Amino acid sequence: MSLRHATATWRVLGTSATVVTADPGALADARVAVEHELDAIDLAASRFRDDSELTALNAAAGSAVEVSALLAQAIHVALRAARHTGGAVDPTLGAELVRAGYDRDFAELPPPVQAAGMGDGGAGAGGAPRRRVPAWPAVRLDRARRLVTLPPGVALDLGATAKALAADRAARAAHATAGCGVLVSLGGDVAVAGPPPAGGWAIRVTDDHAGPQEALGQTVTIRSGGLATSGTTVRRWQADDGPRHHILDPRTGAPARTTWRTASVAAASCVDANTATTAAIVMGASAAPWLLRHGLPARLVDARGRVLLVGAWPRRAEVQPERSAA
Amino acid sequence: MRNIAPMPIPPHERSPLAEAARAASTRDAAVRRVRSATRWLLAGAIGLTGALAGVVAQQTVPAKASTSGSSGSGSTAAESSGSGEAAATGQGSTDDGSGYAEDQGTYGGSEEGSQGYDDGSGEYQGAPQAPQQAPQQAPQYTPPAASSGAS
Repeated sequence: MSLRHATATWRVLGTSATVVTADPGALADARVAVEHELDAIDLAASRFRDDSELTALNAAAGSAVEVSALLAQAIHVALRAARHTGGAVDPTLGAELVRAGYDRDFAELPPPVQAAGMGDGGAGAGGAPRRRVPAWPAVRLDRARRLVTLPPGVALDLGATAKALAADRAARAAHATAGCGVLVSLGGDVAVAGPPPAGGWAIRVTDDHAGPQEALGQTVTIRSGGLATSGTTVRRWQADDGPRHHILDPRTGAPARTTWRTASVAAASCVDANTATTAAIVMGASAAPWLLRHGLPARLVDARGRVLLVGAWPRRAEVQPERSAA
Repeated sequence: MRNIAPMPIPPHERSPLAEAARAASTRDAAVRRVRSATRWLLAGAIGLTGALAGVVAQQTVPAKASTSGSSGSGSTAAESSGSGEAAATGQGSTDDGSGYAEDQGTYGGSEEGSQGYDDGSGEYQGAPQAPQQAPQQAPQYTPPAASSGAS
């Protein structure tokens, strides 16, 4: 494994961005390419910017709106995720996220009072969740004319897939600019492009992408595509009726009560990996057969820290049981 | 067609044996009708039960799942002793009962056309794709280039 690669990390899009180049001399160029892509995706698909295209589109729900090629691609990716997960990944939860209290940049939300760690903690208080009719089937995207029509009252939130799309695009752009193997990580959603270093790209898979390197987890290598992790332990905040997390169950519009606190998946792209991890959190115990059916290697960690390895995910040579953060 | 009244049975044919035969014939016909009606009722009940079960399955929020990592038919799950890890391999079933059965485009997310922008030469089409090469366990003490965790 080559140790000569160079790394840059900075804060962006409410999380951290990391770019790694196999050629240390290409880092500066690669970072410029990544920053350009991230600026573009933020302007197109941010739910928290008043001047973003997505904000304008949500405000115009009910009418056909012409959008940029980038936003059209982000919406296409989101609708594809919904279609192939049976709606477990739903881009039409914007209004529900606002109702759950996630109405501004995550850094501005009050931290949860209750300790994180349980998979279904943060699912919110109150009685039985009400049924929700999914709205994504009613979203119309004319890709040729780049026209999007949202049903009245529906707001898109592309967070689950847009960040992964940004990672894929940024990795490709950085590789094209730098001319060497590149890894881009956006808040733990990893995409790689170009020739990998000898031995592949080593990635530490843990509960919290910003946690210390000695945190319990597993280090794996990938050579292409993407690797993503979703979980309920990190992006949490305090709502009026208790702590909440950001992965909503589209059937109810409330934070998902799930078996898994963390789901990691390797796939042909970061978008596919992220789609699968979000779906796994929402699907719960039935995620394993779904992942198997798609040939997606996965590592699922339940609320007590027990690990389920799915498909071709590598078994560890030396293992140590993980403990719940709760 | 004209209705033809049944012929009266002549007295010489009203023998006990003939009467018994007619009674048996009448009884057998009634039994056949009852059996036929029972079969139709049973078939209807089964059909109705199936339809109701389908409606309920679509509308019911699945109960909180177990943590053992249920896998579909043909798959196996095993606890590796002392490691806290389990493995699931093989093929999953096509209906996982999650309420999120995969749909190949029967409904929703209407998209028209496929031109107008470059989305990466055919990327992001169809179902999520497996990696070209599965991830490998990194050699011990390998310093990671990045970390992947929830954010």
